[in-house]
Amino acid sequence: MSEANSDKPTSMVTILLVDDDQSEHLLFERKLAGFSNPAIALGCVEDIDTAVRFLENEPVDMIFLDNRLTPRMDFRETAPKLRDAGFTGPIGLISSDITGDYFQSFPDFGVDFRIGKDEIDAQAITFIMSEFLGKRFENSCDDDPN
Amino acid sequence: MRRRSKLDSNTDNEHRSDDVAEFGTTLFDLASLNLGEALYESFPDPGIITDIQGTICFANESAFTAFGYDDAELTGVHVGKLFREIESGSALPADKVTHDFAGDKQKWEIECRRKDGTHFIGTLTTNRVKNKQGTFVAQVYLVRDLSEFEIVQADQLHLMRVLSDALAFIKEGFVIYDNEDRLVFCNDAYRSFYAASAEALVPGSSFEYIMRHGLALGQYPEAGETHASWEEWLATRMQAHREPNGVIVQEIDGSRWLQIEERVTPENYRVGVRTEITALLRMNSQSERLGQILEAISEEIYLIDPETLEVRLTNKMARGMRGVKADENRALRFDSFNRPADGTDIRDKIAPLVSMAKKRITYQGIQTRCDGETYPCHVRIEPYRDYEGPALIVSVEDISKLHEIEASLLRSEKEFESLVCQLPDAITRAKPDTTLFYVNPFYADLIGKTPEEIIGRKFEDFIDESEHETAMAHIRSLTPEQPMKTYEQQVYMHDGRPFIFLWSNLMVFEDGEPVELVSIGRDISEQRLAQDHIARQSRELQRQNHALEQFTGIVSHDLKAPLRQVRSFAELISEDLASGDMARLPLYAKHLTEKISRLERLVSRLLAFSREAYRALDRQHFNLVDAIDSALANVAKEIADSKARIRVDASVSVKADFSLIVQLLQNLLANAMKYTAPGVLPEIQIEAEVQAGVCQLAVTDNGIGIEPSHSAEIFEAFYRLHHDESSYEGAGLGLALCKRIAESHLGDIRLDADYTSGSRFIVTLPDQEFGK
Repeated sequence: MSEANSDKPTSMVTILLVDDDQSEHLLFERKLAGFSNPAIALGCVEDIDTAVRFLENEPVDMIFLDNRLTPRMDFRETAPKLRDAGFTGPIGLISSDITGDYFQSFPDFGVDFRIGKDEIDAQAITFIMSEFLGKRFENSCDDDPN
Repeated sequence: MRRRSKLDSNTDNEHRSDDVAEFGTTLFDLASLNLGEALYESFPDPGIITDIQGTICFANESAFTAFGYDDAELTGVHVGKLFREIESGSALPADKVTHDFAGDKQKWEIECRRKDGTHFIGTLTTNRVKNKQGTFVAQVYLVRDLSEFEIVQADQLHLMRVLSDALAFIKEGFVIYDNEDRLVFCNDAYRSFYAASAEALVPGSSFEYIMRHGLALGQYPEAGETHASWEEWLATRMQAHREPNGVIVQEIDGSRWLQIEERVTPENYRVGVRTEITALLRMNSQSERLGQILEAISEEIYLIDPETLEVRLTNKMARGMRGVKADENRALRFDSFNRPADGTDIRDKIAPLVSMAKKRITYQGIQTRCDGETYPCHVRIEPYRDYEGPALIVSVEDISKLHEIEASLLRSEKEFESLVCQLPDAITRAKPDTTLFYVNPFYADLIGKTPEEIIGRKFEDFIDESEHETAMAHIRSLTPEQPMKTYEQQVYMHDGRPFIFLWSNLMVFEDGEPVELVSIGRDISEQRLAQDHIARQSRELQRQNHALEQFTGIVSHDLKAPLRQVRSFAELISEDLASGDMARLPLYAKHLTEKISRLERLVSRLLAFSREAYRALDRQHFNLVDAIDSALANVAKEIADSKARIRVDASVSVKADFSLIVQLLQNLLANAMKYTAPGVLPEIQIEAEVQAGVCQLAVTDNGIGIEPSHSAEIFEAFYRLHHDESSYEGAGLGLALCKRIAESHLGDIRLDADYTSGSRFIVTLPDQEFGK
């Protein structure tokens, strides 16, 4: 698990990635590396229980939640646990394949948006932050981090 | 005897003149008195002569008799003593007499008082007598006694009433017209016949007036509808009325018929009688029609003499068959062309009719046509009596066609019976209470009895006890609205073989009441097996489709993810190489290699899964121990590496696909050896038994176990409880393949959730024929 940077700047955004594949951590970290304003602190955990504990200890602005987590859990079980932990920020559902019908019901389980893992890049992340984190980051997001 | 009045009791005229003077009358003319005596002495009616004051001077013999006085008592009495007014009943005073009789001649109807106080009604005629000078000198009273006339008149009236009442009772119409052809009398029946002419039927109306009134109201349909036809009809009718000559039949009101008889009396009165003959005409009409029907019917009808058997009458059909005309009947004798089929003499046949012992006889006979041909017939004979005396009515029906139809029907029945016998269906006919009266050989064979042993017994006697209520409820549910239903029944042949029959039951109803139950049972065992086979294939297809969907999901997710990661890491390496940043290249390369290796494993295991999971079964009988031995041999290296101890108690014979069962055992053994706690040596026990045709195989280990909450998910493809392949390598296909193999044998596999000392998987394989 990667820990969030504790001495973040004022305009820093903390994103928590919940994915049981460490390769995804590495790839996500690389995609966010170019952001400086706002600076992004990325926290990575592999299971939902660790994610809940993370929320208890660190302020988190946004969560990217992998649909399937070991053992055999999907967002219909995991997203409510994050909400139960008191997290009120945006939760984005990520998956290698989001074409399943049951993805259509994501708002019912406390998820704000969904996005395929192969669609995630700097531009998508900039748009998502602007859309869901409000004017605080609007100007900062104008610049392409890459 | 002549009675003399006081006046002429003396013989001399002087003295008589004195008497007159004594009465104080005015001058009295003796010549007149004598003339009066001469005139009225022998007059048959009472005659009285008074002076001008009304004092009686003379009374004739009839007066004495009528009033009951003698001459002495009447002479000198005022005439008013003898008469009273009919209306007031009071005596006539002298002045009223003189006043009322003031005219020369008067005629009164008056009450005449007798001496004894009784009275009679009479006509009083008075005449004044005058002398030569024209002076009123005397009054003559002539009385006509009306008592006899009244009696006669009353008798006549009474007779008229009696006659009228009597005529009112008779149903014939009665009418009298006078010599001027005016209606005198008609009774109620006459009025009811000519109801339309009621207004005109009043005494005094002329016959012609009455007839015209009825014509105008359409009372005489036979008169036609035009004025000219009316006049013509009326002229004829009037002529017949004036000069009656025989009986007239007249139609009235379009539906009634009258017979008219009229007579002329010596007084030239016309007396008519109307008799309704509508019913009679109808009866005649019916008789004619009946005769026409008998003449036209297709049966031969004969009227024969019971003694001589001579034919008196025949209908058209009989004459045609005999070749005779109507006037040639007498030349025929019934026994010359008809004989009973049983050889009995025809006279013996008809003897009970002649003796009146029977009212009808019938027999089958042989009839000979005029051309010599014979034909079978049905003969019915009944006694009759006509004007010639006793007779027999014989009807002969040609039944040769009927015989042909019966023969045809018999052939059809035999053909039907033959067909029914050859049908591969069970056919029964029963009474509504299921008492069988017909079963075909197929049903009898099904039951294992002869039809004779079955007929007479009830349907339910041959139904298995467990099916009894169902079958009976089914039969009871048949209604006129839904008389036919079908139901399936498990049937066991007499040798115990099970069959499935589809019974179609038809209850025949007549007037809402059940009269017969027809049941047809068809063996649908093969059909049912085929349906079950199709259902199994359908389920199998569904499973395969589901597996295919799973496979698609796997490809889209479990394969897509590592592919994407491979591409991403390759791009990162490329970027870093381009930028000269080499720091993370080893890390990226390591991940890249891992993802490619995982892809290779996934692909190869998917191929193995699909190869094993969807191939056709090759079922064969083998001892399960042989399959276990093969599986143990395949995982011998893992057994050696893990130092696993394996105990087998599974010597049962099964019918299954040997290689798939080996694969199933091999996967379970591999799992049992793989998921063990560090430092624990695997201990595996394989047990099997067959009960009630089902083989139950249990593989138990002492491994780390599986949470019961995952007991269903672990059999899904690519499901892995342990993501860290460094600890427990696998693609999540082993148990999915085990499930697939068990299901392909129509069995299943489950985790024994109650077992907590490791894991215990239980596999069931049904349809096993042999036990342990």
